[in-house]
Amino acid sequence: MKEYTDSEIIECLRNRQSYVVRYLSDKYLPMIRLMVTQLGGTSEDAKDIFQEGLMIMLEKIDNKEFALTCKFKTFLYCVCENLWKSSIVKRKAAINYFNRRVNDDDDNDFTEMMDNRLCEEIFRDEFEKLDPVGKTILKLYWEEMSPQEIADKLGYSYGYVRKKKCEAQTELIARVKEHPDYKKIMRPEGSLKVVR
Amino acid sequence: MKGQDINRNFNLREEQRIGSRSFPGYDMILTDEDSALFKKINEYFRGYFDIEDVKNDPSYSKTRDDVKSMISDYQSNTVHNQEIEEFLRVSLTLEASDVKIEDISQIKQEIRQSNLNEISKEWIKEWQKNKNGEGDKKTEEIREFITGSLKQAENKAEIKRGTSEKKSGSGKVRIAGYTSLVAASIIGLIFLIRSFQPFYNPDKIFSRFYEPFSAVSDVTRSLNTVGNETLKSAVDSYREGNYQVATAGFSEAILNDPASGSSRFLLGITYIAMNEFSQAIDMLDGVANQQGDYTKDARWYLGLAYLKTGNKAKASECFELLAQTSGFYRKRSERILRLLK
Repeated sequence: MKEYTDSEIIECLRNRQSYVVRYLSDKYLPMIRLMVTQLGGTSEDAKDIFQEGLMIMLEKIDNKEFALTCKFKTFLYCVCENLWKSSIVKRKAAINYFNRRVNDDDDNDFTEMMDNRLCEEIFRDEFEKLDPVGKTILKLYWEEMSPQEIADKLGYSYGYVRKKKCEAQTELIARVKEHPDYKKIMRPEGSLKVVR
Repeated sequence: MKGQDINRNFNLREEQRIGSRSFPGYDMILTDEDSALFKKINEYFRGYFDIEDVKNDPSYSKTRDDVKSMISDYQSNTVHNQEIEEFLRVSLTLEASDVKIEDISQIKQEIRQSNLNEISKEWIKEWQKNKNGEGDKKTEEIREFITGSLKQAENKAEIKRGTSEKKSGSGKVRIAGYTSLVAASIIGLIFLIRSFQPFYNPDKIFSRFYEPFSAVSDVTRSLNTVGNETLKSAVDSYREGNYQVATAGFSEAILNDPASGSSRFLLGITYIAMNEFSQAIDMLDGVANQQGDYTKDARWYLGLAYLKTGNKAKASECFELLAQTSGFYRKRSERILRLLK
């Protein structure tokens, strides 16, 4: 994936180049999704918030006097976070107003949310148990660094980085799968339907 | 808000992205179940570390306060910009197979950057003037060359298609002929424009690719400004465009910590901003040739500085090294190398 600088992103958005929107979605939607789901929203909410957040930013970016005072990522996160929080307030008000009755769907939503939170906790716990080198390599991989860049940064060979990354990844998957709570979630009679 | 079809495309692209990570081979050893689980873990941690990064950004709390008013403005405004809404909706629903649209956008961007539109307009004007008037020998020769070549191509195509088909589909042949005539004229025009453009114009390459190191901020990578007020204030001066003050600050920071690659790099790019290319080269050369956080950035700016001083060989060396390693500068270095040939 080609990387863009913040100024390139702004310029491309001003020029209405669609590929930069797709780039932003690939790069930053996971972050927005995590923030929204941690604050009680769903994956679908996250996509809506991401899109609306970009709309707000674009209206500002179109103004030639607009200048970023922080990283684009921080700005996007702040906009989406605020947007989601204000949306929660509105939702709560609506729920109170209509005194919404609790039905099966709500139960399902809640269970799914709890399962997702539990999964995330398992991921974090098991990641922490990996050996330090594997952990560092995976972390850098998630920060979008290539194996060569990781090798350069840590002073390892390219081959070693690839091998360690595969080992750490395999170990993490195995650890998660062996976790008693994860097994419970994944059992057919368990509550998790979609791990997302 | 914009519904299910958008979400389907989001998911499609995410699957493609996960599949194209630059760790070749690792997917092969995973079962479907493991692959799905790792996709979930992968997405979680990418978001997790991004959020961690955002929350460690010193500008975070200020930005959070600033955007509040921005959002309330937006929400109080019931009539939103339809064009923005449409652009984002279309961009986010575009299928991944629409790579050609991206290609076209890139071509259009290149046309804009190279000012090809203006150049081609001039050429067309001149061509038409010559066509209507007597025209000089060269124009006449070009005309003959292109029409002759086209006739040859047309004859070959006709022989291939065979006489019978030619009779039954003479209309089609004519259309194809006209189409290829237009296509060849466009190719010819592009060839003409390209052949009259200078191949190696360091100033042009520099201005096309140079942009100030905008990533310089309080939170830039290993630039830990906490406890280093001199460096921090020099960075602020750089960001404000006070290059003289920044130069003094970075020089002082180097005196305080002679081994600091970041101060040398920042001083180097400040010299570039001041058009002091020889001094920039002195500073950046050391940083580019030692392993550190700024190695690649330093090599990139060093290459640009060498271009400006007319040292094509040294510039090529820098861009060749960058083109061989992955990262942000790879593609642009490849493009510069093509222009330098």
